[in-house]
Amino acid sequence: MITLKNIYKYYDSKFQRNFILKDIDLDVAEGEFISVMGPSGAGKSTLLNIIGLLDDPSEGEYYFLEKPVHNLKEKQKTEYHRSHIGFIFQAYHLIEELNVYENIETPLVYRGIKAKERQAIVADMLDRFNMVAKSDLFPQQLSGGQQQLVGIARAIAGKPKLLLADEPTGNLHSDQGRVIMDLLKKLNHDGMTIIQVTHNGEFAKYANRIIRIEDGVIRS
Amino acid sequence: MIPYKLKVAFRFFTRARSFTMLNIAGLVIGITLFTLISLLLNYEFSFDGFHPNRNKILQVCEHDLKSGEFYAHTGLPLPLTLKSDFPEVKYVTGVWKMLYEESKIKYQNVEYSGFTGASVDPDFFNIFNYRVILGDIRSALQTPDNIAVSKSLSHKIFGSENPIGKTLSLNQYNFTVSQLYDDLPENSSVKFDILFSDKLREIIIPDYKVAWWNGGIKTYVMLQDNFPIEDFNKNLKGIPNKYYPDFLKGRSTFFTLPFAKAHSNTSILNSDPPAVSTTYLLLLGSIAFIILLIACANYVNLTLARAFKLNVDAGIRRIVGAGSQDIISIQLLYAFLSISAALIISVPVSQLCLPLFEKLAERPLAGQMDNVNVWLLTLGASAVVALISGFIPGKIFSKVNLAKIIKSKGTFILTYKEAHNGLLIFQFALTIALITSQFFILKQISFMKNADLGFDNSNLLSVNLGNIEAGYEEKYVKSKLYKEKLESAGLQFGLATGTITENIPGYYYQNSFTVNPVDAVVDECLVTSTAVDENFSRVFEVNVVHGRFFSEDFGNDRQAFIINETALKKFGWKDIESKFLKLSHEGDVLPVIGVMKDIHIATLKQPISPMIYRYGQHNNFPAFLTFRVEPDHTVNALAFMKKEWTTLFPGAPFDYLMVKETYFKNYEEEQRLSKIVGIFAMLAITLSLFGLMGLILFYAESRTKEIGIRKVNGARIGQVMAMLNIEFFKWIAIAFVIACPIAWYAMHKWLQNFAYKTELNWWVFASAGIVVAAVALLTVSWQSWRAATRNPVEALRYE
Repeated sequence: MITLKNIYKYYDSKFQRNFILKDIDLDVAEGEFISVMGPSGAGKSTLLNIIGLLDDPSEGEYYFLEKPVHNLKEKQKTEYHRSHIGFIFQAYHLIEELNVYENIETPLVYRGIKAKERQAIVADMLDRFNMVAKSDLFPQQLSGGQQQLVGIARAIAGKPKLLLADEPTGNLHSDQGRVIMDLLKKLNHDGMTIIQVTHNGEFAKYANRIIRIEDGVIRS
Repeated sequence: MIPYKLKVAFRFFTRARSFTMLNIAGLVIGITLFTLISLLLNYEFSFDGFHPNRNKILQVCEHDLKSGEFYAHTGLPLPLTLKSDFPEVKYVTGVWKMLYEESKIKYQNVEYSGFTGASVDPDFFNIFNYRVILGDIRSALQTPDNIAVSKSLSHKIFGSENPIGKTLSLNQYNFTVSQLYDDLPENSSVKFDILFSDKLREIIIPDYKVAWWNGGIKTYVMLQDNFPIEDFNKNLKGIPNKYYPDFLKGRSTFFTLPFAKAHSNTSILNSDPPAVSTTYLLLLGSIAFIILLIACANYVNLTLARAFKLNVDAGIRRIVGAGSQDIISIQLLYAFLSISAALIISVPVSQLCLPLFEKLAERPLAGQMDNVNVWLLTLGASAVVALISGFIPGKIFSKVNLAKIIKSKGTFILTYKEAHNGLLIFQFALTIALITSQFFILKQISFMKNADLGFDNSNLLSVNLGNIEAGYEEKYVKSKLYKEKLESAGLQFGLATGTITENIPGYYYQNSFTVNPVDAVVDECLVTSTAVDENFSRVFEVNVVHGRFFSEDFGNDRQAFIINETALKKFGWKDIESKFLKLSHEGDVLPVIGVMKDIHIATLKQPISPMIYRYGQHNNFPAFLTFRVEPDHTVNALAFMKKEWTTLFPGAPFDYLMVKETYFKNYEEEQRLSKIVGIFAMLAITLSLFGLMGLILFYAESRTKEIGIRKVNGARIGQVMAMLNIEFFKWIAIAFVIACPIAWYAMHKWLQNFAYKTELNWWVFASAGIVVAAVALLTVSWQSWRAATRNPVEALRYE
């Protein structure tokens, strides 16, 4: 599903080139659940951003669903975001002015789904995540774990093929974290390809493959 | 998609309440001001616009060949002459104003005032759009004692009764109402409450058919279809030769002016209502435009002030699939909603502010409130504001770096700082320019009010002698009698010496003549002429520079001239040793016996013209009796003067004026301008401070971490504040640099209206800059204090 070939990411400063990622090769098959681990500054998030088309590689080739995506224009990237890729964040990043229902509804709006259908999908999500009663609440009224649940619901409402999670449990207690990880596991079981970045060794093990990055290079 | 976006936009409204309120408040101010100025502009630009014939009507004006001035009033016989002898004239009417606001009319022994009236010709109704309610147009004003009245007059005097057949009296004449017409819009130059018959003219001035020297009538014509205006103008030039009495020939001629443009033609003197200069309107228009721009900049600044948050929102939307146009459209929609709310609020707000603005602009504008154009303009301008205000932040947010969003929690992510500063600088540059202009306008007014006029204008009290009903010779005798009575008993009331004059400074000097000086560098010269008595120099405290002033001791001073310094210079004379002068139209060569110091008889807008003083009864002399009163005695002196007046001239109204006040009345236009610019400058700075406040909030927020680190490393509160303040100070400094040439240019242009002008000193620019910088720094410091005193632990806890 994903093929990275000789991916480099660097920034040029005055006298030298600072490498974030060096010569990354990576294949991800559909249905995999991968944890990316490594020390701070190793390049985990940058790798995730490149995979999620939020950042461009400096060099190298990237194929998503067999199609080259390393040279896409903004508009085409937006298309991928709409239909193929979902994100969850450490800081949840829910829109504060919108309630739970509307937050989940947002990506569906941009996919051009009709209001009636949207209603059905959001209702289904709320049901699945046991949040029906909280539908009218605003993010500030929810606990961190609940916010992240909404974040996940929002990410998968549009039925993406790939779910990217950057430290999804970073701001949560381990109990809440476990709930989230169980949920991701279940989603993976249902066929969703997931790549998560994590520091937490216990949560990394939920995945079926662990990739370790150090100094921009994949060690294992 | 639209309902979803509307829903989202409404959410933003209700969830970010304080921000929304600040934003809308700024817009309400901007839109209200824009509306008010539009009302005024519409009033002025649609002046006389309701006459269907307005583009075919010509106003005949008089061109004084001696002074070069143009006058709205023409000789009394002109309408009559045009009617009888000019076949190309289809309709013609004179409009002779006979009733003034202060005149009193009587109905059943109750006196009313505040109405205006004019004598008009029968064609009047063919030319102007008067809607008759009762009575017949043709027959209404057939006899001199018939009048037509307006609906509002009828309502005020007769209430709900039918006015037809009622009798009104004015002075000793009785008039019968024979027609009732609908009121005209306020912005009409031929709006009167009473119309008198043209037949009345002959009764008031029996020789009016030949009295070309009596120039008090306005003349309007409509030509036969397709008759060329140039030809008519040519024909008009023939009038003086054919009809003028000999002594008037060569003094003036006639020309036409399109009626539709007359209101904005300030070169015509004595227009009533006064013409308004297009420059003034353009100035107002540009202020309206500037205020709108500032409101736009303000909105964008406030929105960008929340960029920290909105950026993340926009980023997330992008990540879940929103395109750039979706991000922009959300901001646009939000801007449109804000503006719509502001528009709705600004309607009652404008209504509330209208009376104040009417006072300020000195125009009745309430009638403009229901004008569609004004609201369409406001609506259009608002839409443009919304477009700009929504598009700029939308565009900025849509370009956010998505990768940075992912990790952000409390970190600063805005990358469009420059555009942002640009807006603030722009906003402040306009504000500083407005304030600088205001300072200079005030400075010019104060300069004019405090300038040395060549005489002392304080505590001078003048009585209008024009109200004494007497023949030419007799009038002077009576005036003198009155003067002597006041002098003999007036000492206890603070009256010492009085002077009888033809004119008083600051008031209209009607006589200009060509003179021929003997042994001079010029053969002829146009001079302002005024007649005075022997006390003028003493009472007005005007010094004699050469020779002597008029005196009773020399029997023949009536046959002599005194000139002013400017005239001396113009004639090229060194002294007045055996110098002579002759009026070119009459009289003999007469000696010049003295030179007076130059005084400003007109305002400081005009240069001092050469003048001749004549002794005693010439032209309109006597017209005013002036005393210098002791300030504490003014009330007593007035009472005494009035008492003596009533005993001597029973029935004649006692009119007086203070010379200083009369003089300063000439500066009303400047004062009105200063009031308007002043208020707008205040509002501009308020709006700019709104934006600044938003910006410093955002700025301090974005540097929270840095401030924390500096404080942990030992920075004091003062140092942190200085660090934040210096940034804003820099921006305002740049704004100041941009504002200076703009203000300089505007004021340089404006000051060209004045012959004597204040200097464009650098320190005025500097003080405007300092005022703005001070207010801005105060606003900034308040926020930077909060940022600097925050617990650094809190700031550094993130990440």
